[in-house]
Amino acid sequence: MTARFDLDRVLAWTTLGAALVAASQLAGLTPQLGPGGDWTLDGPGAFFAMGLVAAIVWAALLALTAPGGAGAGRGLAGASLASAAWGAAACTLDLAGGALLWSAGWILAAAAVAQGGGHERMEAAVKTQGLGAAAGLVLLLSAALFVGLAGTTHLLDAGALITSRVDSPVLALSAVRVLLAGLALAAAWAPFHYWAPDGLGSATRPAGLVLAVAAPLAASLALARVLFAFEPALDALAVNWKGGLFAVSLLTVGVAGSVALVQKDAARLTAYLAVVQGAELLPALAARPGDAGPWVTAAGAHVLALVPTWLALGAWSGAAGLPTSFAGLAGRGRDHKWLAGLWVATLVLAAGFPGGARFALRPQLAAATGEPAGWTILFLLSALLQWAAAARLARVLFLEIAPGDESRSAPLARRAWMAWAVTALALGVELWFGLQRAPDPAGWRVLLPGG
Amino acid sequence: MRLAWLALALAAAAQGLAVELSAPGRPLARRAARSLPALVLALVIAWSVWLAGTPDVGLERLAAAWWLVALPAFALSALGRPPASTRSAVPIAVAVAAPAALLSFAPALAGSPWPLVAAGGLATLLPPAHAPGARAAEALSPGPLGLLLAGGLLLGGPPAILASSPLTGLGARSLAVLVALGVAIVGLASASDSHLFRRLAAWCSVQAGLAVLVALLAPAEPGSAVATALAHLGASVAALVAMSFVLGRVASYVHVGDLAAYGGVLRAAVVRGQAVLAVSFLAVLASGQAPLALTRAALATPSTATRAVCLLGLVGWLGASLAIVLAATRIARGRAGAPVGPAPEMKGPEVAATIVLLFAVMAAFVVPALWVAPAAWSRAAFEIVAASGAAP
Repeated sequence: MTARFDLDRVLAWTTLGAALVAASQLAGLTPQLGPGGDWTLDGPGAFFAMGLVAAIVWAALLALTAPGGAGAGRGLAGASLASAAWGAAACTLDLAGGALLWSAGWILAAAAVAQGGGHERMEAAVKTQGLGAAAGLVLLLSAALFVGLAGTTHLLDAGALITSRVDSPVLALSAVRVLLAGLALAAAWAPFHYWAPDGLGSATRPAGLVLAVAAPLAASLALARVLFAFEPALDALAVNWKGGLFAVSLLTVGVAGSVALVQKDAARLTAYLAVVQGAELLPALAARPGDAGPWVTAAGAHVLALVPTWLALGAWSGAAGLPTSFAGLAGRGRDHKWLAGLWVATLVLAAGFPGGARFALRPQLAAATGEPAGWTILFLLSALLQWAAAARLARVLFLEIAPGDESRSAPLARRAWMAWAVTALALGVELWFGLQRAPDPAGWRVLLPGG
Repeated sequence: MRLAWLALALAAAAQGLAVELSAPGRPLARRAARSLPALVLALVIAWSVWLAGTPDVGLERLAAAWWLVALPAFALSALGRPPASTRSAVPIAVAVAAPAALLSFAPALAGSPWPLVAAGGLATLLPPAHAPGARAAEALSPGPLGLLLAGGLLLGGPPAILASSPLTGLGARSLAVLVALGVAIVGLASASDSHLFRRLAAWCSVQAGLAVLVALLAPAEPGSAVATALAHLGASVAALVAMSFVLGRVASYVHVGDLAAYGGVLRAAVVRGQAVLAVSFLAVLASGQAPLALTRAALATPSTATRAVCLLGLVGWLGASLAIVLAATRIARGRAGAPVGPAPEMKGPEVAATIVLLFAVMAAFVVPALWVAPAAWSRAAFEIVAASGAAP
């Protein structure tokens, strides 16, 4: 009798254990390692770590209950390491060091996407790696520009020095724009979102979950630090940075949300919706720089809304072994009502249905920006596009009729029900938090204490 | 009075369920199962109307209640006649969710009447946002359609009227022109529409548009415009409920909305034919308050533009009324043989229900004092006026 060594399960367990250890260590840390150093673990940084740990734990549970073929554990481990690198990059105040960490994260992310093999995954991994390399190079280029302009790659120093030397505004603005383009690539904000639908949609579901949660969170946190550091310079240069945030957010929501509606595959649809959700982090940055309270609240909603959608996708395709293409999905919801109903419910709540994390958050964020009318239109567009996508999936699952297939009504395996239970638990957590009054972020909200 | 609005919601629910449960062609158990989404929709609408009558209810809670309407609306679309139902499920779900999503942002835009105007307008399918009504008319069964249309008017009508009333200047003028043009076009187009329930949906949109126009334009003493608009809305919803029941019962034997299929369907059902005619003429009569108010406004105002807007509203009302009356006479006359055979004569309970509904329409029409603004919307409108700095 020989014991079968399952690397994926071992890695999934190891990642789960590491995440839990990290969580226990995090609880003991005082989230204030700045100022003055090259990196900081402030309130938002610690909150990112918490969100990442939560995503990894859910993803590990998915990998253990619904692996969906080879590579789930390896993909999860790679995605977790990539996200940790991105988180470290978002907490690094040295631009050159941050660029290196971003690049390292992209290499790991591409490796995570490739796990499990297959032509589609390899192609997605190449695209992820290519755009990731571009992001790393762009960030390095911005660091080089800042060295030329201000003689430093330290974010806070560069911001202060540029404010005092606004004699070369074109170059200064170019440096900031290049930096923003690099972060937009990382977060998959339009028009730099091309890696996400392929990368997230093709990766194993646990890896997709972790990357979908972590990439926009890390990039938006890094952008919050950039805005904090450069706000005086941007004001001195008469740059309407809030308008820029709005434009990027609206473009991302409009493009990704519309394209999601014409997708023919549920995994790609979920990936596009993750891009839309990522854009909803930007309004949180339009409030007063330095106050990360809105970002912390939005980040919490981001994690709560995204996790169940990816878990449901994983339960459907991984554990139950059911197809995700719309041609294969047609009418399958009638055969697996509970699983399909739960799946649709996760998307409905993520869209902003009452009880979901975004329902109460969106009006709060719109008010916090100081320009609620414009942001209301953006949130409205986001909610309705996501709602339409959820309704479309429900239509395909429950209303459309596919040619008869004898194997369709086969009962679900025990593993599928376990994955369903994990998804239901995550949905319950989202509902529980969604029905609470949003707590005051208190100590979490202080960005760069003493910076 | 909160109870009057609630009674309307319950009447709409009762007719929707009655038409759905009594539809011929399916066993009772199956009909009951198919009626479940209609029951859920009825409960949600009744709850929302009850909430709107409660003074201390916030807009967030009302928005949440409005959101809930979208789920049974999707299910009802799915239960309709394929393939129109399958195609329409997503657009209808989005159209029903849109006002709810918009309303949820009203607290963030405190002091602005536009979220309430827009959310109410979308919920009532105010022209030119009336297209989802036509889509629902093609997809839904007659009973649930009446419930959905009445629900939209009950939920969205009062906030649209109350929030548009304090509008002034360019905003008020733009809204009035937009709605009046929409009302005129929808009303005139509906008169030549070949689909019975598309005509009914257009009639609802026109009445909602007229109510908003009255709130915007009717001068007289302060407050009376809103009261007139609300009374028009209440009487129109009562008429809609009665029409949905009577026409829905006929349609349940014909199975399609195409008016060409109704020729001679009532040749053996004299009482049913008379009921169709009576309810249609009564609906036109009950919807007469708004055109009267617009006529008075047109005569009183020195502004040519206001007169033109009033005239457009009157043209729309005329078109929509003509559409209903012509459809009723076409159904009631018994010349051509209907391909589905004649509909049976009305039985006792159906006659009784029809008489009760006709009396309800009369009461709604002749007692305008019933239609007091729901408390939650009154408070929201008061806050808007207070925030704008005008005297409340």
